Amino acid sequence: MNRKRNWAGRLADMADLGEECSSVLPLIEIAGNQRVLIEHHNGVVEYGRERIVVQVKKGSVAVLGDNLELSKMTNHQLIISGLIYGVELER
Amino acid sequence: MDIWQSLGGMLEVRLLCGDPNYALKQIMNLGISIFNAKPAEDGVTLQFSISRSNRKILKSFAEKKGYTLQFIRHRGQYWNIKRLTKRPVLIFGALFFLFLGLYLPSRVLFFQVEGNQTVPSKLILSKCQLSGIGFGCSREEVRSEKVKNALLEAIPELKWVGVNTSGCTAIISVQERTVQEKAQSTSGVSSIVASRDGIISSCTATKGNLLCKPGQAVTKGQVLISGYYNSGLTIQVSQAEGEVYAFTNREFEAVLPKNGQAKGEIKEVIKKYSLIIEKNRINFYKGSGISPTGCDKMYEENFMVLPGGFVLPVSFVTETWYVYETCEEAADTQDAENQLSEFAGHSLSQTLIAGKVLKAREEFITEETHTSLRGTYACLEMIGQVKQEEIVSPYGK
Repeated sequence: MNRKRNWAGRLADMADLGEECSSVLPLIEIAGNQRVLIEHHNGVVEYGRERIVVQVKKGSVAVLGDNLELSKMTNHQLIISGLIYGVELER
Repeated sequence: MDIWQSLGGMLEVRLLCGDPNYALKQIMNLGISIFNAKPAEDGVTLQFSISRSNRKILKSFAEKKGYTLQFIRHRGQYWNIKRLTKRPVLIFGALFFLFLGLYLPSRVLFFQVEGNQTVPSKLILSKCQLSGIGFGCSREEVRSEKVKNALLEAIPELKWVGVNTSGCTAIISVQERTVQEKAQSTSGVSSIVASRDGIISSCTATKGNLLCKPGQAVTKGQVLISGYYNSGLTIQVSQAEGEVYAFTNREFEAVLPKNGQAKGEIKEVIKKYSLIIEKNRINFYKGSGISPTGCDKMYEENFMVLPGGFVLPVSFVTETWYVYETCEEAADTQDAENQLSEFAGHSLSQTLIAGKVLKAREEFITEETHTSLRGTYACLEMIGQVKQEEIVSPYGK
């Protein structure tokens, strides 16, 4: 697995795409203070109005805010909307 | 929810489970996309939206796991469209009005004739129909040049025609020839001749060569004012004009039967209704509509008129039949003579041109079945009549 990831990482480096394109590392995109998009996630660990914790490879991502809601959730993509105060990465 | 999700149809569901986070992960692993998931306030209930196509998968998943699944509401335009398909009349009506909305503005529904003074609008419209402009014809079919040619040929009183369309209205503008133009159009030579035998009482010629004088006896067809005038060097031709009055003698005969049918009391009043749409008639009664003898018929046609004065080709007709009794009536001899005399006077006044009866000698003969009148009337009347002369070329016609 490790070898495979290294190979994918090396290929992404060669193509000058970045390591997140290899579908291994999570990609987190924050649009202002209203929307957070997380790709390559492993599901929701904690779900509340003020805190949503999403499991990713090698840890989790906690989104803190007010009136939070899971706008969309698919196998690959997760969109959290609401008033966002902060995003924490936990290992 | 984007437009494709809306058209595909969404379902809002409520899932009652022990661990909502675990359930979410399981649902996600099934490949079901979750939208607008609201966190559980009580810690066991999840509320979210899914695509309509994932309904069965989620249902079987919930049954398998022992979760309680409730479908709360339908979301998206798919469900509105599906509801509409259950109302075919509404869809048909909407499509019908859509069709009318697209079709009607391209058609000519109203006509307006302007500029005519002596030529009736009805005649102009009937001739227009012959050239293809009728109720409901396409606006694109209206060709001003084509209508102009057809109308000028069909109605000589017109000198110019133009057709414009404004919305659903075809405006037919016409210009008529003036009286002077009509007189100028008649070419050639004309004389004034005597229409009957008589003795000239007065004569006036405003144009042409006067060939008669007062006191002269003339016969029918005799030239009174000639269109030819010999000036000594040349023969001038013109259209003779003038007035010639003469004393004439007229005879009149009339017969009145002694017994006749007279109108009695009205027995019955019958009303019949019908609807006329353009040239089609819908009768709301039985029978042929031909009134029997001994019946007066009153015909009333009411056209549908839109605000603004546009007359639709739809009219409602009311026919009122007054069926009356007839009875035989014998006329008195004196009454019969009076009636005959009155009839003779009326008929003569209709026949005479700018004339009057000077003296009358009437003779009545009464027989068993009828009374007859034989009268001789001395009249003063205008006997001049225009006659077109034919110019014959020395080399033939």
